Amino acid sequence: MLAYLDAGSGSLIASLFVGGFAAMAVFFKMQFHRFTGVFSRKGAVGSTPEVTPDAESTEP
Amino acid sequence: MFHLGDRVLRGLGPQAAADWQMLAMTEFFPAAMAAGRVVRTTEVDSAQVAVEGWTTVLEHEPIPFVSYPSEWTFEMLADAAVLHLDLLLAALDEGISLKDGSAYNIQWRGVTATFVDVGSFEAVAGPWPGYRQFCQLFLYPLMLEAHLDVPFQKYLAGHLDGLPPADMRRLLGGRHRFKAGVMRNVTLHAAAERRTTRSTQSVQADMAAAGYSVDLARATARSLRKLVLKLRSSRSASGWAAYRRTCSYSDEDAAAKADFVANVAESRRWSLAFDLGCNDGAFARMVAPHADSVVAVDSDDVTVGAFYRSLRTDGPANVLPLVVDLVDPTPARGWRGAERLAFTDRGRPDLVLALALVHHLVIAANVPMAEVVDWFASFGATLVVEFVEPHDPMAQRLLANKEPGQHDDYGIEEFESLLDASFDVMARQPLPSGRRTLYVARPRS
Repeated sequence: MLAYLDAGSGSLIASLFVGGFAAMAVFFKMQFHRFTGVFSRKGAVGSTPEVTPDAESTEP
Repeated sequence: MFHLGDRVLRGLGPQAAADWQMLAMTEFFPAAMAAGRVVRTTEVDSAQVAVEGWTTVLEHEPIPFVSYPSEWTFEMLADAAVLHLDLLLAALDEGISLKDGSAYNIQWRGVTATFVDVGSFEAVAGPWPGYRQFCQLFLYPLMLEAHLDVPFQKYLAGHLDGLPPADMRRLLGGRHRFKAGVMRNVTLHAAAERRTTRSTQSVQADMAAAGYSVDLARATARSLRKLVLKLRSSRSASGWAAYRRTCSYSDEDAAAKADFVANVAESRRWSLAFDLGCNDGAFARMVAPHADSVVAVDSDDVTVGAFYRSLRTDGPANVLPLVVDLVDPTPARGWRGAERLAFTDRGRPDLVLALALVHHLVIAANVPMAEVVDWFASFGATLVVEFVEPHDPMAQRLLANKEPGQHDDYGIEEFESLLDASFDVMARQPLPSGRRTLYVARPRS
Protein backbone atom coordinates (compact mmCIF):
# COMPACT_ATOMS: atom_id res chain seq x y z
CA MET A 1 0.00 0.00 0.00
CA LEU A 2 2.95 2.29 0.64
CA ALA A 3 3.43 2.82 -3.09
CA TYR A 4 0.02 4.50 -3.25
CA LEU A 5 0.78 7.10 -0.59
CA ASP A 6 1.70 10.62 -1.61
CA ALA A 7 5.10 11.21 -0.04
CA GLY A 8 4.83 14.94 -0.67
CA SER A 9 1.82 15.52 1.59
CA GLY A 10 3.65 14.50 4.78
CA SER A 11 6.52 16.78 3.80
CA LEU A 12 4.17 19.74 3.39
CA ILE A 13 3.05 19.25 6.99
CA ALA A 14 6.68 18.71 8.05
CA SER A 15 7.65 22.06 6.52
CA LEU A 16 5.48 23.69 9.21
CA PHE A 17 7.88 22.44 11.90
CA VAL A 18 10.62 24.54 10.24
CA GLY A 19 8.64 27.75 9.80
CA GLY A 20 8.72 28.99 13.40
CA PHE A 21 5.89 29.70 15.86
CA ALA A 22 3.42 31.07 13.30
CA ALA A 23 3.81 27.91 11.21
CA MET A 24 3.38 25.72 14.29
CA ALA A 25 0.18 27.64 15.02
CA VAL A 26 -1.05 26.64 11.55
CA PHE A 27 -0.14 23.03 12.33
CA PHE A 28 -2.13 23.01 15.58
CA LYS A 29 -5.04 24.80 13.94
CA MET A 30 -5.08 22.08 11.23
CA GLN A 31 -5.13 19.40 13.91
CA PHE A 32 -7.95 21.22 15.67
CA HIS A 33 -9.92 21.46 12.43
CA ARG A 34 -9.44 17.77 11.80
CA PHE A 35 -10.45 16.97 15.39
CA THR A 36 -13.58 19.09 15.22
CA GLY A 37 -14.23 17.71 11.72
CA VAL A 38 -14.71 14.26 13.26
CA PHE A 39 -17.85 15.59 14.95
CA SER A 40 -19.12 17.32 11.82
CA ARG A 41 -20.91 15.52 8.99
CA LYS A 42 -19.36 18.01 6.58
CA GLY A 43 -15.79 17.31 7.65
CA ALA A 44 -13.14 19.83 8.61
CA VAL A 45 -13.48 23.48 7.65
CA GLY A 46 -12.02 24.06 4.21
CA SER A 47 -10.98 20.43 3.73
CA THR A 48 -11.60 18.69 0.44
CA PRO A 49 -13.06 15.21 0.06
CA GLU A 50 -10.38 12.58 0.51
CA VAL A 51 -9.98 8.83 0.70
CA THR A 52 -8.32 8.04 4.00
CA PRO A 53 -9.30 5.89 6.97
CA ASP A 54 -9.94 9.11 8.98
CA ALA A 55 -12.11 10.64 6.32
CA GLU A 56 -14.03 7.46 5.71
CA SER A 57 -14.89 7.31 9.42
CA THR A 58 -16.70 10.64 9.04
CA GLU A 59 -18.87 9.32 6.25
CA PRO A 60 -22.50 8.64 7.19
CA MET B 1 14.66 20.94 -23.11
CA PHE B 2 16.34 20.20 -26.41
CA HIS B 3 19.54 20.96 -28.25
CA LEU B 4 19.94 22.49 -31.67
CA GLY B 5 23.61 22.12 -32.51
CA ASP B 6 25.36 23.89 -29.63
CA ARG B 7 22.24 25.82 -28.67
CA VAL B 8 20.27 24.88 -25.54
CA LEU B 9 16.54 25.54 -25.96
CA ARG B 10 13.49 25.11 -23.77
CA GLY B 11 9.99 24.81 -25.20
CA LEU B 12 7.15 26.22 -23.08
CA GLY B 13 3.47 25.28 -23.26
CA PRO B 14 0.73 27.88 -22.53
CA GLN B 15 0.94 27.68 -18.69
CA ALA B 16 4.76 27.66 -18.61
CA ALA B 17 4.82 30.55 -21.09
CA ALA B 18 2.53 32.57 -18.79
CA ASP B 19 4.83 31.76 -15.82
CA TRP B 20 7.81 32.91 -17.91
CA GLN B 21 6.11 36.21 -18.79
CA MET B 22 5.41 36.79 -15.10
CA LEU B 23 9.02 35.93 -14.19
CA ALA B 24 10.51 38.21 -16.85
CA MET B 25 8.52 41.13 -15.38
CA THR B 26 10.00 40.76 -11.88
CA GLU B 27 12.88 42.78 -10.48
CA PHE B 28 14.83 39.90 -8.95
CA PHE B 29 15.04 37.67 -12.04
CA PRO B 30 16.92 39.98 -14.45
CA ALA B 31 19.19 41.06 -11.57
CA ALA B 32 19.99 37.43 -10.66
CA MET B 33 20.62 36.66 -14.33
CA ALA B 34 22.99 39.64 -14.69
CA ALA B 35 24.88 38.49 -11.59
CA GLY B 36 25.26 34.97 -13.06
CA ARG B 37 23.14 33.44 -10.29
CA VAL B 38 20.58 32.30 -12.86
CA VAL B 39 21.53 30.96 -16.29
CA ARG B 40 21.29 33.66 -18.98
CA THR B 41 18.01 33.09 -20.77
CA THR B 42 16.46 34.86 -23.74
CA GLU B 43 13.21 34.40 -25.60
CA VAL B 44 13.72 33.40 -29.22
CA ASP B 45 11.45 33.67 -32.17
CA SER B 46 10.12 30.12 -32.53
CA ALA B 47 9.96 30.53 -36.31
CA GLN B 48 13.70 31.21 -36.23
CA VAL B 49 14.63 27.91 -34.57
CA ALA B 50 12.33 25.75 -36.67
CA VAL B 51 10.53 24.03 -33.81
CA GLU B 52 6.79 23.78 -33.64
CA GLY B 53 4.21 23.09 -30.99
CA TRP B 54 5.48 25.50 -28.32
CA THR B 55 3.90 28.75 -27.17
CA THR B 56 7.31 30.21 -26.35
CA VAL B 57 10.87 29.02 -26.93
CA LEU B 58 13.67 30.08 -24.56
CA GLU B 59 17.39 29.85 -25.19
CA HIS B 60 19.83 29.25 -22.32
CA GLU B 61 23.52 30.05 -22.34
CA PRO B 62 25.23 26.62 -22.39
CA ILE B 63 26.96 25.36 -19.22
CA PRO B 64 30.61 24.44 -19.97
CA PHE B 65 30.40 21.06 -18.21
CA VAL B 66 27.34 19.56 -16.55
CA SER B 67 28.00 18.14 -13.09
CA TYR B 68 25.85 16.39 -10.50
CA PRO B 69 25.50 16.97 -6.74
CA SER B 70 27.16 13.64 -5.95
CA GLU B 71 30.32 15.08 -7.54
CA TRP B 72 30.37 18.28 -5.48
CA THR B 73 32.23 18.95 -2.26
CA PHE B 74 30.46 19.71 1.01
CA GLU B 75 30.92 23.45 0.55
CA MET B 76 29.77 23.33 -3.08
CA LEU B 77 26.55 21.60 -2.01
CA ALA B 78 26.09 24.12 0.82
CA ASP B 79 26.73 27.09 -1.51
CA ALA B 80 24.30 25.63 -4.06
CA ALA B 81 21.69 25.19 -1.29
CA VAL B 82 22.08 28.81 -0.18
CA LEU B 83 21.73 30.03 -3.79
CA HIS B 84 18.54 27.98 -4.17
CA LEU B 85 17.06 29.44 -0.97
CA ASP B 86 18.15 33.01 -1.81
CA LEU B 87 16.37 32.77 -5.16
CA LEU B 88 13.28 31.34 -3.46
CA LEU B 89 13.28 34.19 -0.92
CA ALA B 90 13.75 36.85 -3.62
CA ALA B 91 10.98 35.25 -5.70
CA LEU B 92 8.56 35.04 -2.74
CA ASP B 93 8.93 38.79 -2.21
CA GLU B 94 7.43 39.25 -5.68
CA GLY B 95 4.67 36.67 -5.42
CA ILE B 96 6.55 33.86 -7.14
CA SER B 97 7.64 30.49 -5.77
CA LEU B 98 9.57 27.45 -6.95
CA LYS B 99 7.92 24.17 -7.88
CA ASP B 100 10.77 22.12 -6.49
CA GLY B 101 13.92 22.16 -4.39
CA SER B 102 16.26 19.99 -6.40
CA ALA B 103 20.05 20.20 -6.31
CA TYR B 104 19.94 19.29 -10.02
CA ASN B 105 18.53 22.80 -10.57
CA ILE B 106 22.04 24.12 -9.94
CA GLN B 107 25.03 23.94 -12.27
CA TRP B 108 28.48 25.50 -12.12
CA ARG B 109 30.48 27.92 -14.24
CA GLY B 110 33.88 27.28 -12.73
CA VAL B 111 33.22 27.86 -9.03
CA THR B 112 30.14 30.05 -9.55
CA ALA B 113 26.85 28.29 -8.86
CA THR B 114 24.06 29.10 -11.30
CA PHE B 115 20.39 28.14 -11.22
CA VAL B 116 19.42 26.54 -14.52
CA ASP B 117 15.82 25.33 -14.18
CA VAL B 118 14.03 28.52 -15.17
CA GLY B 119 10.85 26.47 -15.69
CA SER B 120 10.65 25.86 -11.91
CA PHE B 121 9.30 29.34 -11.16
CA GLU B 122 5.53 29.64 -10.77
CA ALA B 123 2.99 31.90 -9.07
CA VAL B 124 3.06 31.37 -5.33
CA ALA B 125 0.30 29.10 -4.05
CA GLY B 126 0.51 27.80 -0.50
CA PRO B 127 3.49 26.06 1.10
CA TRP B 128 6.76 25.52 -0.79
CA PRO B 129 6.39 22.10 -2.46
CA GLY B 130 10.17 21.82 -2.79
CA TYR B 131 10.84 21.34 0.93
CA ARG B 132 11.02 17.55 0.68
CA GLN B 133 13.37 17.62 -2.31
CA PHE B 134 15.50 20.25 -0.63
CA CYS B 135 15.88 17.99 2.41
CA GLN B 136 16.65 14.91 0.32
CA LEU B 137 19.11 16.46 -2.10
CA PHE B 138 20.71 19.27 -0.07
CA LEU B 139 20.09 19.14 3.65
CA TYR B 140 20.38 15.41 4.36
CA PRO B 141 23.65 14.89 2.44
CA LEU B 142 25.07 17.91 4.29
CA MET B 143 23.88 16.45 7.61
CA LEU B 144 25.38 13.07 6.78
CA GLU B 145 28.78 14.73 6.62
CA ALA B 146 28.31 17.40 9.32
CA HIS B 147 26.70 15.15 11.93
CA LEU B 148 28.06 11.70 11.11
CA ASP B 149 31.41 12.54 9.51
CA VAL B 150 30.47 10.46 6.46
CA PRO B 151 31.31 11.88 3.00
CA PHE B 152 27.96 12.10 1.22
CA GLN B 153 29.03 11.74 -2.41
CA LYS B 154 28.73 7.96 -2.86
CA TYR B 155 25.42 7.87 -0.98
CA LEU B 156 23.92 10.64 -3.07
CA ALA B 157 25.17 8.95 -6.26
CA GLY B 158 23.07 5.93 -5.27
CA HIS B 159 19.88 7.96 -4.69
CA LEU B 160 18.87 10.02 -7.71
CA ASP B 161 15.99 11.57 -5.73
CA GLY B 162 18.17 12.13 -2.68
CA LEU B 163 18.26 10.46 0.73
CA PRO B 164 14.76 9.54 2.02
CA PRO B 165 13.56 10.98 5.40
CA ALA B 166 12.86 7.48 6.79
CA ASP B 167 16.47 6.34 6.11
CA MET B 168 17.85 9.54 7.58
CA ARG B 169 15.73 9.08 10.74
CA ARG B 170 17.40 5.70 11.27
CA LEU B 171 20.87 7.08 10.56
CA LEU B 172 20.37 10.12 12.79
CA GLY B 173 18.69 8.40 15.75
CA GLY B 174 19.74 8.39 19.43
CA ARG B 175 21.85 11.35 20.52
CA HIS B 176 22.12 12.57 16.91
CA ARG B 177 18.48 13.72 17.14
CA PHE B 178 19.67 16.66 19.20
CA LYS B 179 22.14 17.90 16.59
CA ALA B 180 21.41 21.01 14.51
CA GLY B 181 18.21 20.71 12.51
CA VAL B 182 17.74 16.96 12.99
CA MET B 183 14.64 16.91 15.19
CA ARG B 184 12.62 19.24 12.94
CA ASN B 185 13.88 18.28 9.50
CA VAL B 186 14.51 14.57 9.97
CA THR B 187 12.73 13.04 12.99
CA LEU B 188 9.47 14.99 12.71
CA HIS B 189 9.65 14.96 8.90
CA ALA B 190 9.85 11.16 8.83
CA ALA B 191 7.04 10.93 11.41
CA ALA B 192 4.80 13.27 9.36
CA GLU B 193 5.53 11.24 6.25
CA ARG B 194 4.64 8.01 8.04
CA ARG B 195 1.38 9.32 9.47
CA THR B 196 0.03 11.36 6.59
CA THR B 197 -2.08 9.29 4.29
CA ARG B 198 -3.93 12.16 2.64
CA SER B 199 -3.37 13.64 -0.79
CA THR B 200 -1.21 16.72 -1.35
CA GLN B 201 -4.22 18.74 -2.52
CA SER B 202 -6.17 17.86 0.61
CA VAL B 203 -3.27 18.86 2.89
CA GLN B 204 -2.74 22.10 0.95
CA ALA B 205 -6.41 22.98 1.32
CA ASP B 206 -6.27 22.27 5.07
CA MET B 207 -3.17 24.44 5.42
CA ALA B 208 -4.82 27.30 3.55
CA ALA B 209 -7.91 26.99 5.75
CA ALA B 210 -5.70 27.11 8.84
CA GLY B 211 -4.21 30.43 7.70
CA TYR B 212 -1.01 29.45 5.85
CA SER B 213 0.51 32.53 4.22
CA VAL B 214 3.51 33.41 2.08
CA ASP B 215 5.21 34.76 5.23
CA LEU B 216 5.40 31.20 6.52
CA ALA B 217 7.01 29.96 3.30
CA ARG B 218 9.52 32.79 3.74
CA ALA B 219 10.14 31.81 7.38
CA THR B 220 10.74 28.18 6.29
CA ALA B 221 13.29 29.23 3.66
CA ARG B 222 15.04 31.59 6.10
CA SER B 223 15.24 28.89 8.76
CA LEU B 224 16.69 26.39 6.26
CA ARG B 225 19.24 28.97 5.08
CA LYS B 226 20.38 29.59 8.65
CA LEU B 227 20.70 25.85 9.23
CA VAL B 228 22.72 25.23 6.04
CA LEU B 229 25.14 28.02 6.99
CA LYS B 230 25.53 26.47 10.44
CA LEU B 231 26.47 22.99 9.17
CA ARG B 232 30.19 22.38 8.92
CA SER B 233 32.06 19.39 7.61
CA SER B 234 34.44 18.05 10.21
CA ARG B 235 36.32 16.01 7.61
CA SER B 236 39.85 17.26 7.37
CA ALA B 237 42.04 14.19 7.78
CA SER B 238 42.93 12.85 4.36
CA GLY B 239 45.90 10.95 3.07
CA TRP B 240 46.02 13.35 0.15
CA ALA B 241 45.55 16.73 1.77
CA ALA B 242 49.25 17.03 2.60
CA TYR B 243 50.44 15.31 -0.58
CA ARG B 244 52.28 18.33 -1.92
CA ARG B 245 54.38 18.42 1.25
CA THR B 246 54.97 14.69 1.55
CA CYS B 247 55.35 13.59 -2.09
CA SER B 248 58.68 12.44 -3.43
CA TYR B 249 59.37 15.29 -5.85
CA SER B 250 62.67 17.06 -5.57
CA ASP B 251 62.62 20.79 -6.29
CA GLU B 252 64.30 20.11 -9.65
CA ASP B 253 61.66 17.51 -10.61
CA ALA B 254 58.81 19.81 -9.57
CA ALA B 255 60.23 22.71 -11.61
CA ALA B 256 60.85 20.55 -14.70
CA LYS B 257 57.34 19.09 -14.48
CA ALA B 258 55.79 22.56 -14.16
CA ASP B 259 57.78 23.77 -17.20
CA PHE B 260 56.72 20.78 -19.27
CA VAL B 261 53.01 21.20 -18.45
CA ALA B 262 53.18 24.98 -18.93
CA ASN B 263 54.72 24.53 -22.39
CA VAL B 264 51.90 22.24 -23.52
CA ALA B 265 49.27 24.51 -21.94
CA GLU B 266 50.61 27.59 -23.73
CA SER B 267 50.99 25.86 -27.10
CA ARG B 268 47.40 26.66 -28.17
CA ARG B 269 43.92 27.62 -26.92
CA TRP B 270 42.00 24.69 -25.39
CA SER B 271 38.27 24.51 -25.23
CA LEU B 272 37.80 21.94 -22.43
CA ALA B 273 40.65 20.49 -20.38
CA PHE B 274 40.38 17.58 -17.92
CA ASP B 275 42.83 17.25 -15.05
CA LEU B 276 42.40 13.64 -13.91
CA GLY B 277 43.65 13.06 -10.36
CA CYS B 278 44.12 16.79 -9.83
CA ASN B 279 45.10 16.72 -6.12
CA ASP B 280 45.50 20.38 -5.05
CA GLY B 281 44.88 21.58 -8.62
CA ALA B 282 48.28 23.17 -9.25
CA PHE B 283 48.36 21.95 -12.88
CA ALA B 284 44.68 22.74 -13.54
CA ARG B 285 45.53 26.32 -12.52
CA MET B 286 48.42 26.30 -14.96
CA VAL B 287 46.15 25.30 -17.86
CA ALA B 288 43.26 27.63 -16.89
CA PRO B 289 44.55 30.83 -18.59
CA HIS B 290 44.83 28.91 -21.88
CA ALA B 291 41.48 27.09 -21.75
CA ASP B 292 37.83 28.12 -21.92
CA SER B 293 37.15 25.76 -19.05
CA VAL B 294 38.95 23.18 -16.96
CA VAL B 295 37.35 20.27 -15.11
CA ALA B 296 39.64 19.04 -12.32
CA VAL B 297 38.67 15.77 -10.66
CA ASP B 298 39.98 13.75 -7.76
CA SER B 299 38.46 11.03 -5.62
CA ASP B 300 39.54 12.69 -2.36
CA ASP B 301 36.72 14.96 -1.19
CA VAL B 302 38.88 16.75 1.38
CA THR B 303 41.54 17.72 -1.18
CA VAL B 304 38.93 18.83 -3.73
CA GLY B 305 37.19 20.75 -0.93
CA ALA B 306 40.39 22.68 -0.19
CA PHE B 307 40.85 23.31 -3.93
CA TYR B 308 37.29 24.68 -4.22
CA ARG B 309 37.93 27.05 -1.31
CA SER B 310 41.16 28.31 -2.85
CA LEU B 311 39.46 28.81 -6.24
CA ARG B 312 36.64 30.77 -4.59
CA THR B 313 39.19 33.03 -2.93
CA ASP B 314 41.91 33.40 -5.55
CA GLY B 315 40.41 32.15 -8.83
CA PRO B 316 40.78 31.40 -11.66
CA ALA B 317 37.06 31.44 -12.37
CA ASN B 318 37.03 28.83 -15.13
CA VAL B 319 38.09 25.74 -13.16
CA LEU B 320 35.39 23.35 -11.92
CA PRO B 321 36.66 21.02 -9.18
CA LEU B 322 34.75 17.74 -8.80
CA VAL B 323 34.89 14.69 -6.55
CA VAL B 324 35.09 11.76 -8.98
CA ASP B 325 36.53 8.34 -8.30
CA LEU B 326 38.13 7.51 -11.64
CA VAL B 327 37.98 3.78 -10.94
CA ASP B 328 34.24 4.07 -10.23
CA PRO B 329 33.07 7.27 -11.99
CA THR B 330 29.49 8.54 -11.88
CA PRO B 331 27.46 6.17 -14.08
CA ALA B 332 24.45 6.98 -16.27
CA ARG B 333 21.37 7.17 -14.02
CA GLY B 334 17.59 7.35 -14.07
CA TRP B 335 15.02 5.92 -16.47
CA ARG B 336 16.76 3.74 -19.05
CA GLY B 337 20.03 5.18 -17.81
CA ALA B 338 19.31 8.26 -19.91
CA GLU B 339 18.21 10.94 -17.41
CA ARG B 340 21.70 11.68 -16.10
CA LEU B 341 24.77 10.97 -18.18
CA ALA B 342 27.89 9.15 -17.08
CA PHE B 343 30.81 11.41 -16.19
CA THR B 344 32.75 10.64 -19.37
CA ASP B 345 29.71 11.24 -21.63
CA ARG B 346 29.19 14.85 -20.54
CA GLY B 347 31.93 16.56 -22.48
CA ARG B 348 34.68 16.01 -25.03
CA PRO B 349 37.94 17.44 -23.72
CA ASP B 350 40.66 18.50 -26.14
CA LEU B 351 43.33 18.31 -23.45
CA VAL B 352 43.71 15.63 -20.76
CA LEU B 353 46.23 15.82 -17.93
CA ALA B 354 47.00 12.49 -16.23
CA LEU B 355 49.87 13.37 -13.93
CA ALA B 356 51.07 10.80 -11.40
CA LEU B 357 47.89 8.84 -12.02
CA VAL B 358 48.85 5.67 -13.90
CA HIS B 359 50.55 3.96 -10.92
CA HIS B 360 47.43 4.47 -8.80
CA LEU B 361 45.18 2.93 -11.43
CA VAL B 362 47.50 0.03 -12.27
CA ILE B 363 49.06 -0.84 -8.91
CA ALA B 364 46.52 0.33 -6.32
CA ALA B 365 43.33 -0.30 -8.30
CA ASN B 366 44.56 -3.29 -10.37
CA VAL B 367 43.44 -1.86 -13.72
CA PRO B 368 45.54 -3.46 -16.50
CA MET B 369 47.91 -0.87 -18.01
CA ALA B 370 46.61 -1.57 -21.54
CA GLU B 371 43.11 -0.66 -20.28
CA VAL B 372 44.40 2.58 -18.81
CA VAL B 373 46.09 3.64 -22.06
CA ASP B 374 43.03 2.59 -24.07
CA TRP B 375 40.89 4.77 -21.75
CA PHE B 376 43.24 7.72 -22.32
CA ALA B 377 42.88 7.21 -26.09
CA SER B 378 39.06 7.14 -25.78
CA PHE B 379 39.05 10.85 -24.88
CA GLY B 380 40.41 11.63 -28.36
CA ALA B 381 42.37 14.52 -26.80
CA THR B 382 45.96 15.66 -26.47
CA LEU B 383 47.33 13.76 -23.50
CA VAL B 384 49.92 14.91 -20.97
CA VAL B 385 50.83 11.85 -18.95
CA GLU B 386 53.39 11.12 -16.27
CA PHE B 387 54.81 7.67 -15.72
CA VAL B 388 56.15 6.93 -12.26
CA GLU B 389 58.73 4.14 -12.40
CA PRO B 390 58.47 1.17 -10.03
CA HIS B 391 61.58 2.24 -8.09
CA ASP B 392 60.07 5.65 -7.21
CA PRO B 393 59.33 5.80 -3.44
CA MET B 394 55.62 6.54 -4.06
CA ALA B 395 55.27 3.55 -6.41
CA GLN B 396 57.23 1.46 -3.90
CA ARG B 397 54.71 2.38 -1.23
CA LEU B 398 51.86 1.06 -3.38
CA LEU B 399 53.82 -2.07 -4.39
CA ALA B 400 54.57 -2.83 -0.73
CA ASN B 401 50.91 -3.82 -0.26
CA LYS B 402 51.02 -6.28 -3.17
CA GLU B 403 52.27 -9.85 -3.63
CA PRO B 404 55.84 -9.95 -5.00
CA GLY B 405 55.68 -10.22 -8.79
CA GLN B 406 52.01 -9.20 -8.99
CA HIS B 407 52.86 -6.08 -10.98
CA ASP B 408 55.98 -7.22 -12.83
CA ASP B 409 54.47 -5.89 -16.05
CA TYR B 410 54.39 -2.38 -14.58
CA GLY B 411 57.44 -0.87 -16.27
CA ILE B 412 58.40 2.04 -18.51
CA GLU B 413 59.08 -0.14 -21.58
CA GLU B 414 55.61 -1.70 -21.37
CA PHE B 415 54.02 1.72 -20.86
CA GLU B 416 55.85 3.31 -23.80
CA SER B 417 55.01 0.45 -26.11
CA LEU B 418 51.29 0.74 -25.21
CA LEU B 419 51.41 4.51 -25.63
CA ASP B 420 53.13 4.19 -29.03
CA ALA B 421 50.44 1.77 -30.21
CA SER B 422 47.60 4.30 -29.79
CA PHE B 423 49.27 7.72 -29.74
CA ASP B 424 51.84 9.79 -31.58
CA VAL B 425 54.23 10.82 -28.83
CA MET B 426 55.14 14.46 -29.49
CA ALA B 427 57.56 14.95 -26.60
CA ARG B 428 59.12 12.83 -23.87
CA GLN B 429 60.99 14.21 -20.89
CA PRO B 430 62.50 12.25 -18.02
CA LEU B 431 62.59 14.30 -14.81
CA PRO B 432 66.04 14.97 -13.25
CA SER B 433 65.59 12.32 -10.53
CA GLY B 434 65.34 9.63 -13.21
CA ARG B 435 62.28 8.10 -11.52
CA ARG B 436 59.51 9.81 -13.50
CA THR B 437 58.95 10.61 -17.18
CA LEU B 438 56.49 12.99 -18.81
CA TYR B 439 54.94 12.59 -22.26
CA VAL B 440 52.74 14.67 -24.50
CA ALA B 441 50.89 12.55 -27.00
CA ARG B 442 48.13 12.84 -29.60
CA PRO B 443 45.79 9.96 -30.27
CA ARG B 444 46.00 8.40 -33.72
CA SER B 445 42.59 8.76 -35.31
